[in-house]
Amino acid sequence: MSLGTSQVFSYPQNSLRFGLLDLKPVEITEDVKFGNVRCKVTKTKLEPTKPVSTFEELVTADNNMIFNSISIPERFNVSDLVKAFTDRSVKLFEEDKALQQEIENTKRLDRNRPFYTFVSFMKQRFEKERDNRLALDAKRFLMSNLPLTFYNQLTRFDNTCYDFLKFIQNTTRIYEYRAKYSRNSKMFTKIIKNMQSELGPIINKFDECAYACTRLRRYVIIWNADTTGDLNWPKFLDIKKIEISEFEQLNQEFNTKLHEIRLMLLNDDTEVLCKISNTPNSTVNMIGNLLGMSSATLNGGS
Amino acid sequence: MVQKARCFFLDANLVLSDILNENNPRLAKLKNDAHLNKIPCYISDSVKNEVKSKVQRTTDFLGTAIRETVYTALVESRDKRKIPSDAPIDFSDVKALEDLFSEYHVMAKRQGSLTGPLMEVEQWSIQFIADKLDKGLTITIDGFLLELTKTVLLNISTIADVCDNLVEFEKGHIKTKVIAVDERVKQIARIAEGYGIHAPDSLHVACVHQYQALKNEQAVFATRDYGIIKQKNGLWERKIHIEISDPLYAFYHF
Repeated sequence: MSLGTSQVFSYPQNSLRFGLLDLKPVEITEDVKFGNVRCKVTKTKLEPTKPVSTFEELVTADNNMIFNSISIPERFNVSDLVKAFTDRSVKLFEEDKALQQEIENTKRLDRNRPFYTFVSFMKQRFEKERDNRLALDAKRFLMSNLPLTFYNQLTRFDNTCYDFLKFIQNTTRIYEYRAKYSRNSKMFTKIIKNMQSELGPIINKFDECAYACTRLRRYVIIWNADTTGDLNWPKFLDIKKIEISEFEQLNQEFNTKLHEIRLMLLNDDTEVLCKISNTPNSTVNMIGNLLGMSSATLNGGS
Repeated sequence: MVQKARCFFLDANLVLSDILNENNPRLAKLKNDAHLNKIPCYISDSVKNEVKSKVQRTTDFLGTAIRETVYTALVESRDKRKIPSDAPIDFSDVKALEDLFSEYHVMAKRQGSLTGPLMEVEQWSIQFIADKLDKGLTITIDGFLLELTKTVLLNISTIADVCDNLVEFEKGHIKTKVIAVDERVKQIARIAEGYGIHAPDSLHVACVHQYQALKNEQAVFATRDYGIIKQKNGLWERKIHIEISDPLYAFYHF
């Protein structure tokens, strides 16, 4: 199975941070000619708040943090792992012209609702790749002896990513609508700043969870890869090759972060509250019947 | 005389029914009674733990059934028939699964155990293949197992999310009450077990009894398990006064 572009942007935290938070509105004055009349027009545009890091710098920093915080097999060293994972991400980013274009477009002057458009792009892309990500995790489960609960938690994180993007989309829509009708640039700036301060904490919380998830995934992979060439897709993920206490600790940290971001989303947006559909679904029926059985029956059932 | 505050305590089977959004008129009646009469619905943390562990155990049971039981049977059957494993699934593969599940039924009958969970997987997986074959689609063993796993992950992850929303984050009609399991609770649980109320239900009953005593509230433990309900009189004889009822009638026990 090939690794598509979704692998880089499965978790959209870096792109979102860059697109939504690290921009500030600034006023610029342009000379505009209406017929024979020249006049000055003041416009508001969005500029980065700090020197722009390259994507490579951003990913290298993330990977450095990850591989310095977990134990690694003797056959690898930290810098090799950082390089291997960074190179892969950068390659996929460079091939992803649509995303690069979208990030650039966010800073354009003439773009209507730049934040909302950018988040909608990210959400749409995330949604489109959802089935591929699920298939990838299903395949990894079948080529492993790890329990299905492990992959279920990863799928739950995927569900949470989607809820998170929905929330961000909704928030940017509301604020940009208000900003559009602001009386002056001072008001515009204030509304955009309010939006950023509302989104900041939740993006930070999401970052923490995405980091914990990526770290856990990488931990499982590096202990099952024999060479750096295997890091993309180890043949088999064997739980016996993993130090269980560290795995459990990383898993626990991930679950705690997942719990925190879900709670934050639930408190901010009741639309996140999902329900099981009433429409007949043989899988849900089967799971429901299993859940209705006593634990003893289930333990002796296979 | 001041009337004691009233509350419902729910058993795990009712919480699961709520999570699965089942059309359960009995639970709907209890929820309606609670809403109209402003009676809070609680679960003990023992029930919360049972619900969460059931979701987890069911997930791993399904994982093992797909990855080991079904996969091994299909591949072994192909090996015997000298058919490559990447050939599309056909009627012979379905019959191989029939052989596999028949063996389980015979073995279970001999051992006096239940094949319930595996029968559920049997019905579901055979129907899954049948749907593909009926539509004239071709699917390999790997493709079939991949689809099964994807479907389970998609559904069980949503169930786990809804479960957390309801019992962990309390975004519904249920609040969790943390009841310390001290010697008194353990003693009542043991007495309940003596009446045939098995763990963890014995602990749920003991926790509700303890809550009543500590908070001086009147509680009704609502369950669909008639094995527990019928033991109520025995508990009363031992001076363990606790109302246990089907959710349909729970309100009338105050």
